[in-house]
Amino acid sequence: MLPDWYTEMPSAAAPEPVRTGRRAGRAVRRALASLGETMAREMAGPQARPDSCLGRVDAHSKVAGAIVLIVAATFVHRLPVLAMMLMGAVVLVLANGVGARRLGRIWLGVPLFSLAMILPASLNVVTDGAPLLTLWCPGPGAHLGLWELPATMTITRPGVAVAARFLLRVLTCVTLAFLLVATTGPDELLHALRRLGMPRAFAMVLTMMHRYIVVLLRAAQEIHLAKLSRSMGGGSLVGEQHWVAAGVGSLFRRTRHLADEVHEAMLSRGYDGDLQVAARPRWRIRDGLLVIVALLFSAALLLANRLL
Amino acid sequence: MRANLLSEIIFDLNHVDYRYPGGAVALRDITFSAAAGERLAIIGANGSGKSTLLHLLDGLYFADSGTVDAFGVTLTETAVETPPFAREFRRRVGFLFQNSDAQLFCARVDEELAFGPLQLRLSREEIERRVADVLRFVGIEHLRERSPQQLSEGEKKKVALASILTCGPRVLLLDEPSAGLDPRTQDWLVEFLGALHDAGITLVEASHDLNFVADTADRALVLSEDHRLVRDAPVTQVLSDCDLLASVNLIRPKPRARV
Repeated sequence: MLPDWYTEMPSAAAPEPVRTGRRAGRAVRRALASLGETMAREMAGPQARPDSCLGRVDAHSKVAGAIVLIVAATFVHRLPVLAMMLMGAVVLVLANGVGARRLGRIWLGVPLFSLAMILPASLNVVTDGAPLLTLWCPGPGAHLGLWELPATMTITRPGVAVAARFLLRVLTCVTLAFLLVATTGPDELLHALRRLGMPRAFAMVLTMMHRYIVVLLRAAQEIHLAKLSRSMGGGSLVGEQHWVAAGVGSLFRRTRHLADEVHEAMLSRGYDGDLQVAARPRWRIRDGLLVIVALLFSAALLLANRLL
Repeated sequence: MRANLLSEIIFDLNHVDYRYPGGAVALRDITFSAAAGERLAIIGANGSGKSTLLHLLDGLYFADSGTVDAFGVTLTETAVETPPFAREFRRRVGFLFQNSDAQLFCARVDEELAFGPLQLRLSREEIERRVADVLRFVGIEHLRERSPQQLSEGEKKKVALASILTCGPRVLLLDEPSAGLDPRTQDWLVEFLGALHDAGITLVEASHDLNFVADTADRALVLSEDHRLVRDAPVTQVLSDCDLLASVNLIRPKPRARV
């Protein structure tokens, strides 16, 4: 029998919805849905055209070539040479049919964060030199807590050069890494990294993470939707924080359970702690050629860096 | 051929007790044997210990007391971790998990099928041959290069089954194989398991789907809600015993109470 309070609910018409201006819950739902969709799409495989130039090259060569170029970028300090490297990387991305929009998304995230980190280096309190722009004049003897401030706070020319160099390096490295990921299947990439010395356990963890991050994201979406379906709205911030903490805990429990099941499924199919992976075909001439081109290009850039 | 197979005992359990790590009882005093070529169903209500029993048969859990013998060897942690028995046991026994997502952990379907043979250290040519044969046998050649994320539940179940078959197991342990499948895929699974049985494969399934059990098993082990084995008899006999099925919460003892 249903309890009395259950059947005694008022049967009046539902009240009209009232606009409260609260959008936080909707934003979380949309963010989770969008994140899940994007992750599933991006992680399904390489984003470059399969017939693109780099798409047909062996993953080992691409990883080796990318490492050579990234190392070269860290040694180059002339801004024009770094800019040239960045332009070259962008041209490669576009030539392989990855799309400028995807690259733009990457550039909006990582390099902007890097810029925020490096901006203080452009100030005279960090990098001394000829002033380019005066920001503030606190006067002689000014303090910020225990820290003594200079009489004028300026952006210096050497400081701007340091920030620009750092940003160009980050952009170049991120673009090269993006090009590698976009033109290589995740399994091939992990296998190549494994062959090039990445510890076996780390490669396995990355494989699992790649496979299950979407499954867990869907679980997070389900938890959020289940909560929404029982929410009456108007919850306090503290209540929402409690709910998020409980959701994280629930997701963690599911993750543990799934991890146990995956391990059992691996054991059941013969995994004995020493993971065997499929051997890939040997390098072809064009694969070796890519590494040679990357080496020659890096050498040319380092030479230009010295001569300019 | 079937008569010869049935004389070979594959699993032999004697007074097996098992408790979960938290201390809750999962199985009490379980004793039975399974012969090669049998179609065996372990039936019981939710939480009766069906899946746990399959885990014990696959050497993933180990009995707290009593013994679980497989192919004449007692399954202990040492036995299932020590070659050559460990490798041979894993080659002979395949386990289809209820949650296909847990079983499909590789990036692509063909890699999933190659995982087991790779761990068994088979040659590359042999692995490629097995993967191609099983893809064709299960009828999933078109899924070969897909990611598990892009598969429907029915397709995931087929790929999970194929990923076991590439190891060439003689025994299949199936945990709720029909759960979450649409009617067409269920029909396919019934026919597919029938074909495997005709080929001499031993099938041990855990299920509470009595229609599915009627189509895919010859013998039933009934687990009660207090985790005991209360009946070991032919499926037709068990499924016609309404009092037994009601007592173990597999069918309703009387019409559903109206709200």
